[in-house]
Amino acid sequence: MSETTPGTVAFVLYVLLFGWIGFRRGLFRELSVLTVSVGGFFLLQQNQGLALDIVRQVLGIIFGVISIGAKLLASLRAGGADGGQEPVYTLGPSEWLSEADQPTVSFLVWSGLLLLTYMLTNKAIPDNQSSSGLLAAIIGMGNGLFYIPTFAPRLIAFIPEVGVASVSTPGTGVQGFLRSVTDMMESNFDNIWEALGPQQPILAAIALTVLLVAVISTLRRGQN
Amino acid sequence: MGLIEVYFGSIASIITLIGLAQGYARELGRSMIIIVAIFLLLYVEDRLNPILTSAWQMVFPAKDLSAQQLFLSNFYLVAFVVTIFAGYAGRVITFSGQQWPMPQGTILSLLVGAINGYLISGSLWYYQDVYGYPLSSLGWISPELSPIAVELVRYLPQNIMPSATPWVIPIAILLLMRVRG
Repeated sequence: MSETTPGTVAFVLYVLLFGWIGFRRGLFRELSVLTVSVGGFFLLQQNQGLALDIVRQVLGIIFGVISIGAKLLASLRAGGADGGQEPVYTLGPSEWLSEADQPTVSFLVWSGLLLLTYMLTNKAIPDNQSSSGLLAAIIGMGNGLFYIPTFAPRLIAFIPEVGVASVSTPGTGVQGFLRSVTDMMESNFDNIWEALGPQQPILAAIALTVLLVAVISTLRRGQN
Repeated sequence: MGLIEVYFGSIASIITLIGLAQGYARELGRSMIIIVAIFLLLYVEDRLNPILTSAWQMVFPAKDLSAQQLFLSNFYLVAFVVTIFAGYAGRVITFSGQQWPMPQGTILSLLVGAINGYLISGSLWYYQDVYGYPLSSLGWISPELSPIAVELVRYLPQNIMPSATPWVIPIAILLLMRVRG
Protein backbone atom coordinates (compact mmCIF):
# COMPACT_ATOMS: atom_id res chain seq x y z
CA MET A 1 0.00 0.00 0.00
CA SER A 2 1.53 3.32 -1.06
CA GLU A 3 1.71 6.56 0.95
CA THR A 4 -0.93 8.16 -1.24
CA THR A 5 -3.53 5.43 -0.64
CA PRO A 6 -5.25 7.13 2.34
CA GLY A 7 -5.44 10.35 0.35
CA THR A 8 -6.89 8.54 -2.63
CA VAL A 9 -9.45 6.76 -0.45
CA ALA A 10 -10.38 10.08 1.21
CA PHE A 11 -10.74 11.70 -2.18
CA VAL A 12 -12.94 8.88 -3.50
CA LEU A 13 -15.11 8.98 -0.36
CA TYR A 14 -15.41 12.75 -0.65
CA VAL A 15 -16.47 12.53 -4.31
CA LEU A 16 -18.89 9.68 -3.54
CA LEU A 17 -20.40 11.69 -0.69
CA PHE A 18 -21.12 14.62 -2.99
CA GLY A 19 -22.39 12.19 -5.64
CA TRP A 20 -24.79 10.76 -3.10
CA ILE A 21 -25.89 14.27 -2.02
CA GLY A 22 -26.45 15.10 -5.68
CA PHE A 23 -28.45 11.92 -6.20
CA ARG A 24 -30.63 12.68 -3.17
CA ARG A 25 -31.19 16.35 -3.95
CA GLY A 26 -31.82 15.86 -7.66
CA LEU A 27 -30.59 17.47 -10.84
CA PHE A 28 -32.30 20.86 -10.78
CA ARG A 29 -31.24 21.65 -7.23
CA GLU A 30 -27.65 20.59 -7.88
CA LEU A 31 -27.48 22.57 -11.12
CA SER A 32 -28.77 25.65 -9.30
CA VAL A 33 -26.06 25.23 -6.68
CA LEU A 34 -23.41 24.66 -9.36
CA THR A 35 -24.47 27.81 -11.21
CA VAL A 36 -24.43 29.92 -8.06
CA SER A 37 -21.18 28.48 -6.73
CA VAL A 38 -19.17 28.69 -9.97
CA GLY A 39 -20.76 31.91 -11.25
CA GLY A 40 -20.70 33.58 -7.85
CA PHE A 41 -17.11 32.56 -7.17
CA PHE A 42 -15.70 34.01 -10.37
CA LEU A 43 -17.90 37.11 -10.24
CA LEU A 44 -16.82 37.83 -6.69
CA GLN A 45 -13.18 37.15 -7.55
CA GLN A 46 -13.35 39.84 -10.19
CA ASN A 47 -15.44 42.32 -8.20
CA GLN A 48 -13.97 42.06 -4.74
CA GLY A 49 -14.13 45.85 -4.27
CA LEU A 50 -17.80 45.90 -5.18
CA ALA A 51 -18.51 43.02 -2.75
CA LEU A 52 -16.77 44.96 0.02
CA ASP A 53 -18.80 48.09 -0.79
CA ILE A 54 -22.08 46.16 -0.71
CA VAL A 55 -21.18 44.49 2.59
CA ARG A 56 -20.24 47.91 3.99
CA GLN A 57 -23.59 49.35 2.84
CA VAL A 58 -25.54 46.47 4.39
CA LEU A 59 -23.55 46.68 7.60
CA GLY A 60 -23.99 50.47 7.55
CA ILE A 61 -27.78 50.00 7.58
CA ILE A 62 -27.53 47.43 10.40
CA PHE A 63 -25.21 49.67 12.41
CA GLY A 64 -27.50 52.62 11.75
CA VAL A 65 -30.47 50.71 13.15
CA ILE A 66 -28.39 49.61 16.16
CA SER A 67 -27.22 53.19 16.70
CA ILE A 68 -30.78 54.54 16.61
CA GLY A 69 -31.88 51.76 18.99
CA ALA A 70 -28.99 52.52 21.35
CA LYS A 71 -29.80 56.23 21.33
CA LEU A 72 -33.46 55.50 21.95
CA LEU A 73 -32.56 53.20 24.82
CA ALA A 74 -30.21 55.79 26.27
CA SER A 75 -32.90 58.47 26.03
CA LEU A 76 -35.43 56.19 27.73
CA ARG A 77 -32.98 55.51 30.52
CA ALA A 78 -32.21 59.20 30.89
CA GLY A 79 -35.94 59.96 30.81
CA GLY A 80 -35.57 62.74 28.30
CA ALA A 81 -36.26 63.11 24.59
CA ASP A 82 -32.71 64.42 23.88
CA GLY A 83 -31.08 61.11 24.77
CA GLY A 84 -29.35 62.35 27.86
CA GLN A 85 -25.92 63.94 28.09
CA GLU A 86 -23.70 60.91 27.35
CA PRO A 87 -22.97 60.32 23.67
CA VAL A 88 -23.49 56.76 22.31
CA TYR A 89 -20.55 55.32 20.35
CA THR A 90 -21.00 52.65 17.72
CA LEU A 91 -18.35 51.14 15.44
CA GLY A 92 -18.84 51.94 11.72
CA PRO A 93 -18.40 49.18 9.06
CA SER A 94 -15.51 51.02 7.39
CA GLU A 95 -13.62 51.01 10.67
CA TRP A 96 -13.28 47.26 10.86
CA LEU A 97 -13.47 46.39 7.16
CA SER A 98 -10.42 47.75 5.36
CA GLU A 99 -9.50 47.37 1.68
CA ALA A 100 -7.12 44.58 2.69
CA ASP A 101 -10.14 42.51 3.75
CA GLN A 102 -11.51 42.31 0.20
CA PRO A 103 -10.60 38.63 -0.45
CA THR A 104 -11.90 37.55 2.96
CA VAL A 105 -15.16 39.46 2.56
CA SER A 106 -15.78 38.15 -0.97
CA PHE A 107 -15.06 34.60 0.19
CA LEU A 108 -17.44 34.96 3.14
CA VAL A 109 -20.14 36.43 0.86
CA TRP A 110 -19.66 33.54 -1.52
CA SER A 111 -19.86 30.97 1.31
CA GLY A 112 -23.02 32.58 2.65
CA LEU A 113 -24.53 32.66 -0.82
CA LEU A 114 -23.71 28.99 -1.29
CA LEU A 115 -25.25 27.99 2.02
CA LEU A 116 -28.35 30.03 1.24
CA THR A 117 -28.63 28.39 -2.19
CA TYR A 118 -28.44 24.92 -0.65
CA MET A 119 -31.20 25.80 1.84
CA LEU A 120 -33.40 27.70 -0.63
CA THR A 121 -33.23 25.05 -3.34
CA ASN A 122 -34.23 22.43 -0.77
CA LYS A 123 -37.33 24.45 0.12
CA ALA A 124 -38.23 26.15 -3.16
CA ILE A 125 -37.76 23.33 -5.66
CA PRO A 126 -40.26 20.49 -5.25
CA ASP A 127 -38.99 16.90 -5.38
CA ASN A 128 -40.86 16.12 -8.59
CA GLN A 129 -39.07 18.97 -10.40
CA SER A 130 -35.61 17.85 -9.34
CA SER A 131 -35.29 14.29 -10.48
CA SER A 132 -32.67 11.99 -9.02
CA GLY A 133 -30.40 9.99 -11.25
CA LEU A 134 -26.93 9.46 -12.57
CA LEU A 135 -26.71 12.97 -13.99
CA ALA A 136 -27.74 14.51 -10.67
CA ALA A 137 -25.03 12.45 -8.97
CA ILE A 138 -22.44 13.62 -11.53
CA ILE A 139 -23.40 17.27 -11.03
CA GLY A 140 -23.20 16.69 -7.27
CA MET A 141 -19.69 15.30 -7.71
CA GLY A 142 -18.88 18.33 -9.87
CA ASN A 143 -19.97 20.59 -7.01
CA GLY A 144 -17.78 18.64 -4.61
CA LEU A 145 -14.78 18.87 -6.93
CA PHE A 146 -15.28 22.61 -7.28
CA TYR A 147 -15.21 23.05 -3.52
CA ILE A 148 -11.78 21.40 -3.19
CA PRO A 149 -9.74 24.23 -4.73
CA THR A 150 -11.98 26.91 -3.26
CA PHE A 151 -12.13 25.68 0.35
CA ALA A 152 -8.93 23.66 0.68
CA PRO A 153 -6.43 26.58 0.55
CA ARG A 154 -8.34 28.34 3.31
CA LEU A 155 -8.86 25.24 5.41
CA ILE A 156 -5.24 24.20 5.35
CA ALA A 157 -3.76 27.67 5.54
CA PHE A 158 -2.58 26.72 9.03
CA ILE A 159 -0.39 23.97 7.61
CA PRO A 160 2.04 25.83 5.31
CA GLU A 161 4.05 22.75 4.36
CA VAL A 162 1.07 21.38 2.43
CA GLY A 163 1.63 24.27 0.01
CA VAL A 164 -1.70 24.55 -1.76
CA ALA A 165 -1.74 27.78 -3.74
CA SER A 166 -4.43 30.42 -3.34
CA VAL A 167 -6.74 31.06 -6.25
CA SER A 168 -7.72 34.59 -5.31
CA THR A 169 -6.51 36.53 -8.32
CA PRO A 170 -8.65 39.56 -8.92
CA GLY A 171 -9.09 40.80 -12.44
CA THR A 172 -11.64 42.31 -14.73
CA GLY A 173 -13.44 41.36 -17.92
CA VAL A 174 -12.95 38.23 -19.98
CA GLN A 175 -9.21 38.17 -19.28
CA GLY A 176 -9.82 38.36 -15.53
CA PHE A 177 -12.35 35.56 -15.75
CA LEU A 178 -10.03 33.36 -17.81
CA ARG A 179 -7.15 34.19 -15.45
CA SER A 180 -9.24 33.03 -12.49
CA VAL A 181 -10.16 29.80 -14.29
CA THR A 182 -6.60 29.03 -15.35
CA ASP A 183 -5.27 29.94 -11.90
CA MET A 184 -7.61 27.35 -10.48
CA MET A 185 -6.50 24.79 -13.08
CA GLU A 186 -2.83 25.50 -12.42
CA SER A 187 -3.07 25.43 -8.66
CA ASN A 188 -5.37 22.64 -7.62
CA PHE A 189 -7.24 20.87 -10.41
CA ASP A 190 -3.83 20.47 -11.95
CA ASN A 191 -2.63 18.62 -8.86
CA ILE A 192 -5.58 16.24 -9.01
CA TRP A 193 -5.10 15.80 -12.75
CA GLU A 194 -1.38 15.16 -12.40
CA ALA A 195 -2.06 12.62 -9.66
CA LEU A 196 -4.03 10.52 -12.15
CA GLY A 197 -0.79 10.00 -14.11
CA PRO A 198 -0.94 7.62 -17.05
CA GLN A 199 -4.60 6.87 -16.36
CA GLN A 200 -5.59 10.38 -17.51
CA PRO A 201 -6.75 9.52 -21.08
CA ILE A 202 -8.81 6.50 -20.09
CA LEU A 203 -10.40 8.32 -17.15
CA ALA A 204 -11.17 11.31 -19.38
CA ALA A 205 -12.80 8.97 -21.91
CA ILE A 206 -14.85 7.30 -19.16
CA ALA A 207 -15.88 10.70 -17.74
CA LEU A 208 -17.00 11.92 -21.17
CA THR A 209 -18.90 8.67 -21.79
CA VAL A 210 -20.62 8.68 -18.38
CA LEU A 211 -21.65 12.32 -18.86
CA LEU A 212 -23.14 11.67 -22.30
CA VAL A 213 -24.83 8.45 -21.17
CA ALA A 214 -26.31 10.31 -18.20
CA VAL A 215 -27.76 12.95 -20.53
CA ILE A 216 -29.11 10.24 -22.87
CA SER A 217 -30.75 8.49 -19.89
CA THR A 218 -32.86 11.62 -19.29
CA LEU A 219 -34.29 11.21 -22.80
CA ARG A 220 -35.46 7.72 -22.00
CA ARG A 221 -37.07 8.84 -18.78
CA GLY A 222 -38.92 11.54 -20.71
CA GLN A 223 -40.49 8.90 -22.89
CA ASN A 224 -42.43 7.30 -20.04
CA MET B 1 -5.23 39.91 -34.49
CA GLY B 2 -6.86 39.06 -31.23
CA LEU B 3 -5.91 36.62 -28.52
CA ILE B 4 -6.11 33.03 -29.69
CA GLU B 5 -8.12 31.92 -26.64
CA VAL B 6 -10.76 34.56 -27.39
CA TYR B 7 -10.81 33.44 -31.04
CA PHE B 8 -11.41 29.77 -30.22
CA GLY B 9 -13.54 30.63 -27.19
CA SER B 10 -15.88 32.54 -29.51
CA ILE B 11 -16.20 29.48 -31.77
CA ALA B 12 -17.02 27.33 -28.71
CA SER B 13 -19.60 29.89 -27.53
CA ILE B 14 -21.32 29.97 -30.92
CA ILE B 15 -21.53 26.15 -30.99
CA THR B 16 -22.87 26.17 -27.42
CA LEU B 17 -25.60 28.59 -28.48
CA ILE B 18 -26.43 26.39 -31.48
CA GLY B 19 -26.78 23.51 -29.02
CA LEU B 20 -29.11 25.60 -26.91
CA ALA B 21 -31.24 26.44 -29.93
CA GLN B 22 -31.34 22.90 -31.30
CA GLY B 23 -31.95 21.02 -28.06
CA TYR B 24 -29.85 18.31 -26.51
CA ALA B 25 -31.74 15.43 -28.14
CA ARG B 26 -30.29 16.48 -31.51
CA GLU B 27 -26.95 17.67 -30.11
CA LEU B 28 -26.14 14.24 -28.66
CA GLY B 29 -26.07 12.75 -32.16
CA ARG B 30 -23.68 15.49 -33.20
CA SER B 31 -21.48 14.77 -30.20
CA MET B 32 -21.15 11.27 -31.57
CA ILE B 33 -20.16 12.54 -35.03
CA ILE B 34 -17.60 14.91 -33.51
CA ILE B 35 -16.05 12.13 -31.42
CA VAL B 36 -15.92 9.86 -34.48
CA ALA B 37 -14.21 12.64 -36.46
CA ILE B 38 -11.64 13.15 -33.70
CA PHE B 39 -11.00 9.41 -33.49
CA LEU B 40 -10.59 9.00 -37.27
CA LEU B 41 -8.21 11.90 -37.64
CA LEU B 42 -6.10 10.80 -34.69
CA TYR B 43 -6.06 7.25 -36.04
CA VAL B 44 -4.94 8.17 -39.56
CA GLU B 45 -2.68 11.13 -38.72
CA ASP B 46 0.54 9.18 -38.12
CA ARG B 47 -0.08 6.92 -41.10
CA LEU B 48 -1.22 9.68 -43.43
CA ASN B 49 1.36 12.36 -42.66
CA PRO B 50 4.27 10.67 -44.53
CA ILE B 51 2.04 10.19 -47.60
CA LEU B 52 0.80 13.78 -47.47
CA THR B 53 4.33 15.10 -46.99
CA SER B 54 5.60 13.06 -49.95
CA ALA B 55 2.73 14.30 -52.12
CA TRP B 56 3.47 17.88 -51.08
CA GLN B 57 7.17 17.52 -51.88
CA MET B 58 6.37 16.04 -55.29
CA VAL B 59 4.27 19.09 -56.18
CA PHE B 60 6.50 21.66 -54.46
CA PRO B 61 10.09 20.37 -54.48
CA ALA B 62 11.48 23.51 -52.77
CA LYS B 63 11.95 22.94 -49.03
CA ASP B 64 9.53 25.23 -47.30
CA LEU B 65 8.71 23.77 -43.95
CA SER B 66 6.20 26.44 -42.94
CA ALA B 67 4.21 25.97 -46.16
CA GLN B 68 4.28 22.21 -45.62
CA GLN B 69 3.02 22.64 -42.05
CA LEU B 70 0.29 24.94 -43.35
CA PHE B 71 -0.73 22.28 -45.86
CA LEU B 72 -0.85 19.50 -43.25
CA SER B 73 -2.71 21.66 -40.75
CA ASN B 74 -5.23 22.77 -43.35
CA PHE B 75 -5.73 19.23 -44.57
CA TYR B 76 -6.84 18.07 -41.10
CA LEU B 77 -8.72 21.30 -40.51
CA VAL B 78 -10.74 20.90 -43.72
CA ALA B 79 -11.31 17.16 -43.11
CA PHE B 80 -12.56 17.88 -39.61
CA VAL B 81 -14.76 20.81 -40.64
CA VAL B 82 -16.31 18.83 -43.54
CA THR B 83 -17.16 15.93 -41.19
CA ILE B 84 -18.63 18.26 -38.60
CA PHE B 85 -20.56 20.18 -41.24
CA ALA B 86 -22.04 16.91 -42.47
CA GLY B 87 -23.08 16.19 -38.90
CA TYR B 88 -24.77 19.54 -38.51
CA ALA B 89 -26.23 19.99 -41.99
CA GLY B 90 -27.01 16.42 -42.96
CA ARG B 91 -29.20 13.78 -41.43
CA VAL B 92 -28.65 13.84 -37.69
CA ILE B 93 -28.32 10.70 -35.59
CA THR B 94 -30.98 11.02 -32.92
CA PHE B 95 -31.56 9.19 -29.67
CA SER B 96 -35.12 8.13 -29.01
CA GLY B 97 -37.14 9.77 -26.28
CA GLN B 98 -38.24 13.23 -25.42
CA GLN B 99 -35.99 15.75 -23.81
CA TRP B 100 -36.78 17.31 -20.48
CA PRO B 101 -38.82 20.51 -20.47
CA MET B 102 -37.47 23.87 -19.34
CA PRO B 103 -35.49 24.75 -17.31
CA GLN B 104 -33.67 21.42 -16.90
CA GLY B 105 -33.87 20.72 -20.64
CA THR B 106 -32.37 24.11 -21.43
CA ILE B 107 -29.51 23.55 -19.01
CA LEU B 108 -28.82 20.12 -20.49
CA SER B 109 -28.89 21.61 -24.00
CA LEU B 110 -26.35 24.19 -22.84
CA LEU B 111 -24.24 21.44 -21.29
CA VAL B 112 -24.20 19.23 -24.40
CA GLY B 113 -23.72 22.31 -26.60
CA ALA B 114 -20.75 23.30 -24.44
CA ILE B 115 -19.25 19.79 -24.76
CA ASN B 116 -19.63 19.98 -28.55
CA GLY B 117 -18.19 23.50 -28.53
CA TYR B 118 -15.20 22.34 -26.53
CA LEU B 119 -14.62 19.33 -28.78
CA ILE B 120 -14.92 21.28 -32.04
CA SER B 121 -13.11 24.43 -31.00
CA GLY B 122 -10.49 22.43 -29.10
CA SER B 123 -9.82 20.23 -32.14
CA LEU B 124 -9.45 23.24 -34.45
CA TRP B 125 -7.03 24.76 -31.96
CA TYR B 126 -5.15 21.45 -31.65
CA TYR B 127 -4.49 21.25 -35.40
CA GLN B 128 -3.06 24.75 -35.22
CA ASP B 129 -0.99 24.04 -32.13
CA VAL B 130 0.47 20.73 -33.26
CA TYR B 131 1.68 22.22 -36.58
CA GLY B 132 3.13 25.38 -35.01
CA TYR B 133 0.25 27.80 -35.74
CA PRO B 134 0.77 27.94 -39.54
CA LEU B 135 -2.21 30.28 -39.97
CA SER B 136 -0.12 32.96 -38.28
CA SER B 137 1.98 33.14 -41.47
CA LEU B 138 -1.17 34.39 -43.21
CA GLY B 139 -1.67 36.92 -40.42
CA TRP B 140 -4.93 35.36 -39.25
CA ILE B 141 -3.85 34.51 -35.73
CA SER B 142 -1.10 35.62 -33.43
CA PRO B 143 1.68 33.04 -32.88
CA GLU B 144 2.42 34.56 -29.45
CA LEU B 145 0.48 32.63 -26.82
CA SER B 146 -0.60 34.32 -23.61
CA PRO B 147 -0.02 32.44 -20.31
CA ILE B 148 -3.74 31.62 -20.31
CA ALA B 149 -3.53 30.12 -23.81
CA VAL B 150 -0.46 28.06 -22.84
CA GLU B 151 -2.41 26.64 -19.92
CA LEU B 152 -5.56 25.98 -21.98
CA VAL B 153 -3.58 24.15 -24.69
CA ARG B 154 -2.86 21.41 -22.14
CA TYR B 155 -6.60 20.76 -21.88
CA LEU B 156 -7.40 20.48 -25.59
CA PRO B 157 -9.32 17.24 -26.34
CA GLN B 158 -6.49 15.61 -28.29
CA ASN B 159 -3.94 16.61 -25.64
CA ILE B 160 -6.03 15.01 -22.90
CA MET B 161 -6.60 11.87 -24.99
CA PRO B 162 -3.65 11.83 -27.42
CA SER B 163 -4.18 8.25 -28.57
CA ALA B 164 -7.13 7.26 -30.75
CA THR B 165 -7.94 4.23 -28.57
CA PRO B 166 -9.71 5.96 -25.62
CA TRP B 167 -12.04 7.73 -28.06
CA VAL B 168 -13.47 4.34 -29.00
CA ILE B 169 -15.07 4.07 -25.52
CA PRO B 170 -17.65 6.87 -25.94
CA ILE B 171 -18.23 5.91 -29.59
CA ALA B 172 -18.94 2.27 -28.72
CA ILE B 173 -21.16 3.05 -25.75
CA LEU B 174 -23.15 5.73 -27.57
CA LEU B 175 -23.53 3.45 -30.56
CA LEU B 176 -24.84 0.66 -28.32
CA MET B 177 -27.30 3.04 -26.71
CA ARG B 178 -28.44 4.28 -30.11
CA VAL B 179 -28.97 0.75 -31.44
CA ARG B 180 -30.74 -0.32 -28.27
CA GLY B 181 -33.08 2.64 -28.70
